[in-house]
Amino acid sequence: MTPRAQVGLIARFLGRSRGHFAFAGVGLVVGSATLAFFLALSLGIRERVLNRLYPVNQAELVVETVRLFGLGIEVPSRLDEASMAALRALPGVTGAFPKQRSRFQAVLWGGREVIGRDARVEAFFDGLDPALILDELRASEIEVMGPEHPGTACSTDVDCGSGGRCDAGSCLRRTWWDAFRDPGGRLACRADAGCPPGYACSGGRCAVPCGEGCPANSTCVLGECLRACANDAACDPGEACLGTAMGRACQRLSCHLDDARKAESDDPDVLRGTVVPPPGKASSEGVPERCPAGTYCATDSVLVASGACEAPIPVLLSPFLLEIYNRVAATALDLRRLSGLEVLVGVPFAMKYGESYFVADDSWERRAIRRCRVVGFSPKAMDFGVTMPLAAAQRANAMLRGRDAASEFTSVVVTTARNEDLPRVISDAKVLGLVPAPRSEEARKAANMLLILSLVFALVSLVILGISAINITHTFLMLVTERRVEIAVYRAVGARLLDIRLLVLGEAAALGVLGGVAGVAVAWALGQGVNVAAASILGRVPGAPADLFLFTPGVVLAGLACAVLFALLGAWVPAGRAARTDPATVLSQG
Amino acid sequence: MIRVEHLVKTYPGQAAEAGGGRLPSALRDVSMSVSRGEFLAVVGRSGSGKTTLLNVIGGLDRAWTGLVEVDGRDLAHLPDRDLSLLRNRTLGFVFQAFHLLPHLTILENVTLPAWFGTSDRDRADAEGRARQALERVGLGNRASDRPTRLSAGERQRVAVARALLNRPAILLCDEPTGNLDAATGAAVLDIFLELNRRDGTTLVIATHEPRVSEAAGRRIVLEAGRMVEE
Ligand SMILES: Nc1ncnc2c1ncn2[C@@H]1O[C@H](COP(=O)(O)OP(=O)(O)OP(=O)(O)O)[C@@H](O)[C@H]1O
Ligand SMILES: [Mg+2]
Repeated sequence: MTPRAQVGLIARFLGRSRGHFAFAGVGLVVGSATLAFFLALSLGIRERVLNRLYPVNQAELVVETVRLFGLGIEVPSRLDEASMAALRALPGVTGAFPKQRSRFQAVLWGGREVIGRDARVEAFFDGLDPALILDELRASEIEVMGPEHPGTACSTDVDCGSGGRCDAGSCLRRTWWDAFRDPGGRLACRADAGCPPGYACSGGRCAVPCGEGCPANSTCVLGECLRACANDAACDPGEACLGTAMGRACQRLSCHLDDARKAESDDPDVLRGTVVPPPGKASSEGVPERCPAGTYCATDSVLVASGACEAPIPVLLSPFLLEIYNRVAATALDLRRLSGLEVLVGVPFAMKYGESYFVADDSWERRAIRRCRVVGFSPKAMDFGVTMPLAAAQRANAMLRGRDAASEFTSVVVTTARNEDLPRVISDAKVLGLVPAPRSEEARKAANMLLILSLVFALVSLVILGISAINITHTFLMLVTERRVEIAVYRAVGARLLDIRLLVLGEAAALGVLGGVAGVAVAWALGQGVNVAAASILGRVPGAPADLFLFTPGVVLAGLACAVLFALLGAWVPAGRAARTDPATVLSQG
Repeated sequence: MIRVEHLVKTYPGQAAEAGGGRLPSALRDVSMSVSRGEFLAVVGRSGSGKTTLLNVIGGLDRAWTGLVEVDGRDLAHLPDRDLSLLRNRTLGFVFQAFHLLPHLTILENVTLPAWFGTSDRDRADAEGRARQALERVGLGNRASDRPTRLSAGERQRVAVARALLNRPAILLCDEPTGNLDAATGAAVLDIFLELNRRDGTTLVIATHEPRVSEAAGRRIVLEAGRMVEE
């Protein structure tokens, strides 16, 4: 019997025992629906809720505060580069990514482009290592903005308009993951203690000293490590590739505004100021007259008009922030609601360090204005505040609060190669005085709970499928007895033993496919129902996903495969019984 | 075409020799042969072993001892695949109880053997061959009826058409007229005779109707499992 004949015969005969099959198939539908439903739910919650905050192979650690004798005296221990090195040395750890929160008061204003007028609020920020969220940013960008298509032809970034970039001759949008990195900047100082760790104060500004040699790709120019370059493109924005005694190197451009108060201006042209050529350089020798396009003249403090060219600091916002704005602020203050995350990308705003609506302002010479630009979204960004690249945050903390503040981290995210390593890493970190941050610990417990729950329900669905397999065995045994004559006639006209066996198994497989498809469809429909029900409960929780379920091809396949597998298991014995039907006996009887 | 030597068939509960309250074997040392194009009648009283002999020759029954060759093939050592092919290609069966499948139409019943062939081409022209076979037994106009709507004689003719679909060299018929009245039986017998004469189909018919055995070219007589007369 050919495979096609086999399929054809099964297809023709399948409808004949509809009643029996419907009965036997109900179990398959219920079983595969249960399986697909809970698989999709646990995947959805893990991917859409937990993994966004804390992937299962990561944990955020903070310093454990030791309370002495219950007297309320806290003995602080520090989380700094030394602790990072110790963490990275632990077995199983693949990375330790520090975070640092702002240590001073600040205010911000901006947003006119999207909400109609400038918002002015107290500003909080933290800095995190871009390497930690690179992949996540890429994924959430595609989720918010859709996949990236090459656009119109171009030769430079300028051809692609604002926010675009020219890549291999066609326009691409400026992507979050490559926009979120430290653009660099220059800090004025009086002593080493006013610079971030790794920098020394030289000639009134913080510089990387050549002391023990310079990092790769950089050369020592007058006691300072500068990045070697061939042209301006190799340098950070605000730097120029200039010839020195040691060859060409990136040098940050000094600049000044017409007037110190112009730093508050919102006119990009005014903000670009006038570049002050380095000593011994005429303006014509590769030094632009004004800060390059896309940068502005960042003054050393609000008291002075001089500073250095810098690009706005790229920041990430938390999706929670947008939802809180839309649900609370926009309604109460009668501001325009924001339709989605994407409208905020590219929005510029300004921060004034050292001022506050809540506490006393800092001294005038410490206050400074820095420009920022929203480049994307991440649930790992601060809920009430903005998140910038770690180095930018460290620079700001050093400017206002000195090196000590810039070298102490608030928390650290450790990553492990395998999920199973995490518990051991956490217990090892305890020796270093580090404990899981409360949110991280909760997420970990929730993830474990979810795992156990989905295992339990997977087991329940297997039990249901097992019962339906037994049910199928009974039904098929009955059918095989009922079709004794039919089977014997098949044998008489040339069916092989294998053909008979395959016919029965084929009917079971078809039943399994039908049951599995119906089961997955039921699970999907149930999931939609649960989403609707959950929306009315979770609707007020910012950041709650609209769809709790993730019906991946794997989930669909698992639902189908299990239904087919158990149908086949159930039909195994009946198929053997069918093949053993003795045609001589059956056909000799009247 | 068919060669049987020292065939012994013992059903469970039977003994090689009678005695001790047990029945003797259904076939006891039967030897016979049928040559190509022959029409052989197997006669004997009820329970003499006619059906058993036909089932052995047709490869439906595999538990016996002795030698059975059909179309040059030794049935004892033929794997299931080849034996099934032999039933599909070389043999045709007609049973006393017809055994048509009630949920199929007449035409579908007749095309049934084509589903179990070794190539998909078999099935492609099966319908044409089935219609020819139905014409041949005089039922060309009933193709789309269900078997339940036919009379006994008509059903037996459909069963004959089914047996003829793959133009078998050998037709094994177990009391094909047993359930039919005299006139209908005669009509069916005429079909067999024509098949034998015109197509040279080898016929082995188990019967206890004298009319059938008289029409046969040769007959063997079974009595309690032994061949008593050629
Ligand atoms: N399946 C079976 N199990 C046990 N004994 C059987 C079986 N089939 C037949 N027999 C016995 O084998 C013997 C031969 O039976 P068989 O059916 O071959 O006779 P028959 O000549 O075809 O009879 P009839 O003319 O009534 O059809 C009988 O004694 C019968 O009781
Ligand atoms: Mg009989």
